[in-house]
Amino acid sequence: MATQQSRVTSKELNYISDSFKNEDLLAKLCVQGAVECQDPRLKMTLTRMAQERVQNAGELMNILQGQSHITH
Amino acid sequence: MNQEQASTSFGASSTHIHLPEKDMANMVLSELKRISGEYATAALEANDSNIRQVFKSLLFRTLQDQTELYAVLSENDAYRGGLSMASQQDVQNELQNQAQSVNALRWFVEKHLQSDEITRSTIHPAYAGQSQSMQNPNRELQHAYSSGAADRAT
Repeated sequence: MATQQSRVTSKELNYISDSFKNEDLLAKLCVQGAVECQDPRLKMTLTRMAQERVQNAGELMNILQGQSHITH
Repeated sequence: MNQEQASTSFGASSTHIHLPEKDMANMVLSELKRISGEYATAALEANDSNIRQVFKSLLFRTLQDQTELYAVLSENDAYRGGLSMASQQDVQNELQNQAQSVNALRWFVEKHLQSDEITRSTIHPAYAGQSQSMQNPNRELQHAYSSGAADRAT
């Protein structure tokens, strides 16, 4: 049985995979910073950044979901 | 740091370490810088235009985050202490060196574009007005300096 090909290249898939790891790590760092720091502005900035990083991971998910639909 | 604090910070691996705010923020800044580089590379090397666009968006947001976080940290004078300002003399020297290079580059581009019939017809009007530099690039350069120096003197 022939393997179906996606339209995403192997290199792109590697970058997407690395990006997930980057967003994951940065979101967690931001959460830790937001929880532990006392400065209100820094706390607010890191909180917003943590939430944004989760959204970024969602956009990366959308790429993969879009690619998986193409194969059918 | 007293002895008790030291043993807490560097003791058993199960001890949770609280990094100072500045170190934590610096770590996030470093990560933003590293990730920006990765997104730039990913955008440049992406084959699919939609994927490229996503990487560009993520790069843009990462740069914005870095700007915002740096702005928050810069409000603290102690954080800015690591920055040293270039001297006015160094800036002037760099300006002189680079202005000559830029003028030579302008001359090079105009000369070669003007020599080709097709490209000559497509030169942007704003660019065509700079043709004087082809005849005497140093004269234009000197004029730019003298007017700049006059501005500063006032």
